[in-house]
Amino acid sequence: MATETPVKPPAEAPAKTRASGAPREGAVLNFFSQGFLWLWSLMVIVPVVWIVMSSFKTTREIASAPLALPESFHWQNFANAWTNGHIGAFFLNTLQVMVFSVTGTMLLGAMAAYVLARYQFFGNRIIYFGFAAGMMFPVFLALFPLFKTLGNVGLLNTYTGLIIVYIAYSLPFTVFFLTAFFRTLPTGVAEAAIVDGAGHYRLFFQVMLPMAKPGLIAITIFNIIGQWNQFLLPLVLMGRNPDDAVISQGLANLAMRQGYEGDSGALFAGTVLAMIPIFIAYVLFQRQIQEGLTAGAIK
Amino acid sequence: MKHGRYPFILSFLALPVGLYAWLVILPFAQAFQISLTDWSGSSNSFDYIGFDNYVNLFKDERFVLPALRHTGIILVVLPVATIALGLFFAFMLNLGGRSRQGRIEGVAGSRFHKVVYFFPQVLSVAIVGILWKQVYAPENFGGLITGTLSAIGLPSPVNGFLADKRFVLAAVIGVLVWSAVGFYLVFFSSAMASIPRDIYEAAIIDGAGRFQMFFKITLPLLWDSVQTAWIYLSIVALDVFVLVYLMTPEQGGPDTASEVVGGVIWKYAFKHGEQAFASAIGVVLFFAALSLAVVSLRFGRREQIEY
Amino acid sequence: MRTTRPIFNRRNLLGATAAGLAASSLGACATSGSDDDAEEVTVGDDAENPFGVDPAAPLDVVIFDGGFGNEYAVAHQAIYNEAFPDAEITHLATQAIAETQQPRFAEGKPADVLDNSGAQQIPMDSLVSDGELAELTPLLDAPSYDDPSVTVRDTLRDGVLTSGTFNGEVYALNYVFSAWTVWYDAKLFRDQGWTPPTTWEEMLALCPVIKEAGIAPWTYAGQHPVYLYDLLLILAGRHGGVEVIKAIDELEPDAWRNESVVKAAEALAALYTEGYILEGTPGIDHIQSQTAFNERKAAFIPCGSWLPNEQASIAPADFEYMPMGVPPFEGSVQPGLISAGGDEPFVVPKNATNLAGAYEYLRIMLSKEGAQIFGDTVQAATIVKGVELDNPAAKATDALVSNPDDLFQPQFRFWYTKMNEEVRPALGSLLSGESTAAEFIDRMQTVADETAADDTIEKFHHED
Repeated sequence: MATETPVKPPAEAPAKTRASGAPREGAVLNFFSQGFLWLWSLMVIVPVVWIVMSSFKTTREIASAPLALPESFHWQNFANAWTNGHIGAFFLNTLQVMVFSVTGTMLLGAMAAYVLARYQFFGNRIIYFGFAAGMMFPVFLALFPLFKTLGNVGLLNTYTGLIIVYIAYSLPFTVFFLTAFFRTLPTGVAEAAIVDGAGHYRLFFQVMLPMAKPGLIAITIFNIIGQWNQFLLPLVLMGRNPDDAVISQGLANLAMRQGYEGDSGALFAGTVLAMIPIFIAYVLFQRQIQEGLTAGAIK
Repeated sequence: MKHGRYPFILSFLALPVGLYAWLVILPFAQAFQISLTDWSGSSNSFDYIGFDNYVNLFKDERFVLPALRHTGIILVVLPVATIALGLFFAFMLNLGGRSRQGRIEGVAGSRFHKVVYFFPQVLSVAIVGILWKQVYAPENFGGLITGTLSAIGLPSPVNGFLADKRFVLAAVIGVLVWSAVGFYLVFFSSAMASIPRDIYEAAIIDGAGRFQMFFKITLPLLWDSVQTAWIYLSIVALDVFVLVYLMTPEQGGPDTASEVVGGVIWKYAFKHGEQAFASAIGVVLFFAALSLAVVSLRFGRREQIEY
Repeated sequence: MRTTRPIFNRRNLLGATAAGLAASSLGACATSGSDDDAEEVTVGDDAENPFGVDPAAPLDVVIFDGGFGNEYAVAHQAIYNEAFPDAEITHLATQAIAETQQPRFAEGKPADVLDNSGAQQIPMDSLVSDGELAELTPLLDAPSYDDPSVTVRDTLRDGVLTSGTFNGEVYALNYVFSAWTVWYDAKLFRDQGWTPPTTWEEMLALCPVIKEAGIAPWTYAGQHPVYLYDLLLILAGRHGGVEVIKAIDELEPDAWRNESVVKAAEALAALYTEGYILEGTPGIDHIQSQTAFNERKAAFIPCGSWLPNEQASIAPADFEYMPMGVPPFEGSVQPGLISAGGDEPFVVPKNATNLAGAYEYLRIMLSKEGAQIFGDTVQAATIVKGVELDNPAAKATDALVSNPDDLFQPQFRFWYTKMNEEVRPALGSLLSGESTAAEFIDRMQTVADETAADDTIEKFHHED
């Protein structure tokens, strides 16, 4: 397995530096910076490799030799995680929730942000700061009142209830971010569209939304990650029927069970299974995330 | 275009604002109401006791005061460390390499680093906790850091980093930085991408080194992004809890050395049966966060630079 | 210091069916009402159905899904359904008891039967003080499932109700029988030619020999110093008699300064200063310490009687768990004293919808068949008398508990959250050399005195 020995930068890197403007200072700096960059990569890769490696080990191997290579590929862990940990079923549950919650968050978030960014009206600032303040709201505080509120309208232990709560709690970040994004969009195109006789709705759906695509994609990704990892809200609001649990609950259950009966193999296998889809999404959309984030700064 | 303006605004705002008010604002207002009672959390009866909870929480030497101190430390160290590292990495990976055919680009391996650094973001926090617990473990229990330190002949804490009062808080902050840096790398990278390259190329022609390029050009032009990052990280700092819960002895130990405000709220709410007191701590936390954000926005504001 | 604590005589703010806690109208003001509108369960003449269960009423059961899993509960529910085929049973198994069940209490719609265990249990002192739990005397006075001429109470082992008793009233049925002890590996001792020590002094004499063999004498769950709680208190109690540690529970002045308690604290501190503890121990959790013990890196470990079962998938095949109790000091007054009794509290909420069904469910759990299912499924000892169990934990527990007069469970940790929060880190510091025995005693005496002086904290007492 990989160890903590510093990896030497590839040979062409120093050569490149020497060919450039500030030779000596550059070479020394480059060596240390490169070393540090690779060290940090190692600090990420080693632990992740360790998780993947542990997912193939028996529980006894994990406990007695946490750093050793697996003696053989113990695929049983994955089977256990899939069946006992219900990772497969929880995955589908999560998907079912998130299709609606992420779409809803993005639609409502974009609508609110667009209006707040491009229209002057009484109360604009108050609503904007109202949303922004929500980012600082400790979710703990809301658990009991939320339980009550949803219970009163019969949405407790339903996906509908969870979806609207996800949307409401994702709105602050989404609105805050997208408002900044809509403000940066050039006004010229919008004006041209108005001259062409476009109404407010057409302007939003046919002109502004397509223009805001990079920002929308970036925030979508962050909402996916955020909602995928959401733990406390589903635990309390969906606590009635364990079959309806979402993936983060499934993982936390595996993690907690590990403390009681020590099936750490299944825990690591479940982790690997849960990690895969999110990782694929990140690699696929990596460029869009970067582009979209450009507008993140407060203006 | 004037006609239909208000109906349009109303139709776009009604649903998001309504939902937000109903499920976020109202519960918060109720939490404030709860904080004025002596409610335990597991009963449907309680009495109003005014602001006693607020008075008492500032006298709680056992949990609340240490937690406030630690959260204060995290509030300073986490943003500084993360932003410094994020800026350094973003600079190196986007602009740190030298130009080939007059184009500025990142150092070798940039694309690889960018993917790797972001990876902790996709790990669920439960996993991050389990992972780092092992990394910080005592040497003869397979601790990665303690083992490495001994291997190169340096002293290391015999009980690992998490069981040592001197290191436990730093260890928690280290994990936070580790998982956050990737996000801010991407965040600053995209901001840097919008700085026109010819500014740098002109600087290089003038003989500027990379230090000068960074401090004279990049940092000032990135100021807005740094400020935004600061606010996001402050929110994260105030919310730190799950890692402490998963990694540290007795969920905040040893002996309250890693107790944080979020954890204390959880302890009082669910372990001590003092939901009302926990709510009071939460309300204080919220207003502290809010004032912090307002203050940093007021004083951090700089002239907008157009390019 | 905190002063607000849940106290009795609350006014019911919003009534059971009304909007409950913090209703949508923020101005909702207190309305008088009583918490006692819940029906009472009485014991009838019908031995088949002493509580008068409505056969069609649904039953809502919540099981803590920890080390014992929840399969045994499914089997118990099958028995219930045999008697009442029309009853629909809702079964929830979870580890997050407080997070999922506390809001239901708050709403006034709790489960019927709740296994309130694990790290996320709802604090018992708070549930009891809030008057949220039903008293279990009707259950204990009812005819037992197997023999109508014997009451449920008389089918139970001695001392198992103590931990669920608060000021003389039984609010929890602690369903598993367990004992705290010190373990060693008989095979290791045999192979090395060591004689298992019978006193603390013999143990100390053996430690250098153990170290010479390249093995650390002791390890424990360093991240959870609560595993040392019974070791310290039983060591003190054996030396000075049970009254010494009873005085601690009763918050008597200078209870911690008793010479037996001081002697015990000094003895534990000396384990560290003499270097008899496996290096790194304060930094490991229970699984890690138990694994180190299984790998024969340490000779002794303090743990409960469930240890062999918990480590079943990790321990080597030739490992021979042997309990030896806490080795008493020479000249101990009560060398047989042992911390044993009920664990895993099952409670019936006062506002349970199907109160009679809940009592009946507990009665089924306490039947011979119910206890047998539990013992066999989870490999633990049962609180029901006369059930033959063939598992290591049950045998270990039986071996440890011979004289019922020597049974005692120190309670202050469960009665006073504040003292629980203090004793854990204090024990951690004591055994990692961060504090001396004198500092430990001072620290515990201070928190005990503060608890005693704080009249907003409800006080509990041992019977007799």
